Amino acid sequence: MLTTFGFEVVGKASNGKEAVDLFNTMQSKPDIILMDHRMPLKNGIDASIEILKMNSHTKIIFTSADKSVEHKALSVGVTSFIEKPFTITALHKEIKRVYNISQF
Amino acid sequence: MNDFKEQISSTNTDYKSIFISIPIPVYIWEKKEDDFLLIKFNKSLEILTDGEINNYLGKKLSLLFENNSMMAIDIRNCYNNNFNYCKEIEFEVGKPPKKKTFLATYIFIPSHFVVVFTEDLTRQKQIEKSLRKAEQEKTIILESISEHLVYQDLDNKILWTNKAAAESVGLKIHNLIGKKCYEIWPRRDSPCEGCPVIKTTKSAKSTSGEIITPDGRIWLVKGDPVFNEKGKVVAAVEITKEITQIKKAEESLKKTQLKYRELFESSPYSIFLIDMNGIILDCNSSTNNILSVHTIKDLIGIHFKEALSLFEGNIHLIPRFEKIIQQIISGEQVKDFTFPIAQTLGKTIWVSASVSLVKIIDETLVQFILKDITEKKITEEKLKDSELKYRESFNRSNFYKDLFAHDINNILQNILSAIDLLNIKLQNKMLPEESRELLSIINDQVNRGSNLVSNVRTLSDVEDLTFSIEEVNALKVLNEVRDFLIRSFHEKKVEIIINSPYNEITIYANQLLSDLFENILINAIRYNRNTYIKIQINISKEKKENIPYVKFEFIDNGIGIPDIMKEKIFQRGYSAKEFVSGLGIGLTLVKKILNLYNGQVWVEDKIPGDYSEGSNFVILLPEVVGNN
Repeated sequence: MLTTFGFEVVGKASNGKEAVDLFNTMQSKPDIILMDHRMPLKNGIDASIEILKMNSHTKIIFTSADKSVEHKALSVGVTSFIEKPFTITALHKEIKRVYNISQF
Repeated sequence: MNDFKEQISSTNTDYKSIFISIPIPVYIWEKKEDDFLLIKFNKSLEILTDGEINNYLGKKLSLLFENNSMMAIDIRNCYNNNFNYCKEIEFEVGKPPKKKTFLATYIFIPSHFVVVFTEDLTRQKQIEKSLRKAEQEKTIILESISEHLVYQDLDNKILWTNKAAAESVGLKIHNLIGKKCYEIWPRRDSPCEGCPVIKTTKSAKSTSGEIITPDGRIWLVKGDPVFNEKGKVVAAVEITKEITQIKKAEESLKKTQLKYRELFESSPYSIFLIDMNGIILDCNSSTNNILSVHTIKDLIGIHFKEALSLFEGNIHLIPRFEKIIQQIISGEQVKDFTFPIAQTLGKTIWVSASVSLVKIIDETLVQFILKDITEKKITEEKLKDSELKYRESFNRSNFYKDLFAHDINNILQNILSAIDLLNIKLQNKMLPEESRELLSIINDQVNRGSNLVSNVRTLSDVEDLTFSIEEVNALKVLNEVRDFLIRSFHEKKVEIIINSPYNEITIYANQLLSDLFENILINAIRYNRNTYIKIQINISKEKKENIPYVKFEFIDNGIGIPDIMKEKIFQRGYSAKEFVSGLGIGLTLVKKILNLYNGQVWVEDKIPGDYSEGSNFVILLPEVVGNN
């Protein structure tokens, strides 16, 4: 889906632990991470904390169907929060916005 | 004259010996020219004057007594008037001279003699004086005591009484003397029944008793016998004290004690009184039920440890009670406490206890008040159980709500992403044009599902959480909601026009205001069969019952709401019966949020009388006065 808009997906993880491990092993770090919250083994908040610990400049777009975690996610350092369900257009806009921020 | 002189001068006659031996001092004066000469005196006078008188024998009266002295005057009077008399006089005699009182008897002996007998009254006078003083003191003492003293003979005739006794019947002492004691009362001609004085005179012993006099007063009467020298009872002394007030106070105290005893006994709570040594001094009958004893007599007088040992199951309470008693005695505050207590037949009841120090007469005691709270305890347990179940149920419901909302949203997310991809394919003509309508329907349903999830969450929050009310720029929120909805329903031709004569509108609301506006507008969009959906929002201000409101009118061209439904659409409950088919929970949420804001909502027809032309949802929100 993301490739439709010309983005390159450099890695996929099915849970928080995999995401942390993958990020750790990647030599070239992704520009943006799209992070879900409720996942097995490790949730999105804990995964984000560990990733940001490894690289505090990492841009994370946090998504969840539970809006109540928005505040917590932003407080640990994620760049933005989108509540599910969202449209591809909305996601596209948000990725572009966050990417542009990272250029400065 | 010469005979008398010769007689008294004779040395051997009986007359002389008689004269000498008279026990009273005697002077014999003879008139000589203008004075008197002492021609004779007896032995008694010699003793009285310590022999001094011998120096005056044959001497003139004026040498012994001054001319204006009583003795000199009286002798002259006796001689001059030729009569005998006696009177009390005082003069100094002896060595050293002492003033003494005499009864002087002047006897004129014709024709030139005056004989003076001087009986020494000094001692007698002193005794009389002492007696008078003693009598006065006795009178003062008897008069000053508050007890009534009556001295009466064997016929109850009053011989003497004190002032207190006389005043007690409103009479003077002299009115009582001579009367029989019972005669001072009107219409009484016999002694009072059981009179202790009469018993005393008959038994010759002290007797006392209580007497009620005809005026209603109560007296404590004591009779003491008075004996003559032969040991025979001749009179009686009655000592009386009025005890009417004391008796009334005693009676009142007795009644009060009875009253408190009755309260004590009728109390549904068990009340114990324990002394400082732990002995149970008293307890009421309710105690039987608490401690399962047949009678409270089994408890009174025993140590509280013994009482708690009546059932083995209560022995463990002893250290606790010991500690509590020590605490209360040492002045510490002891809070009420509860404990289970074993009874017969293996039954256990719950008891609450209050403990305090009480002062009864002069003794400080520890008071326990025990109350059977078994029923209350059972109810509390049931309530606790019920609360636990409710809490579990609430948590379960919250868990399901959360799970449902989250997972449905995830499902919707996937469907929405799929629609988005299909739309891209449609735009790239990779799908037939007729797919557009189907995609629009799916998209519409996803939006609807997403809105439902959001509303369920918000509705739950409105009911469970506490929201604060603050000042909110309503126009800003309304514009944001409009823009969001236009984007969300981009596949539909939706126009939302806001007509506001004000640039800024401040109302009392909070973050739920966007949910309120969103639901009104979504409703207007969703229940509309027109290809061109037009919603006009008119904003004005009005006062209702003096409260300033901002009025929002959401006028749509939708399917309209029949009159019968106009109120029901806001009143969705939680039971199947209350479910209004075809409508979501959006308007229920609108109503709840407005209740939170003290606002109002109702629906009118766009064209009055014809609901099918569309609706006008009217909302009143409290305005922050002072802002424009």
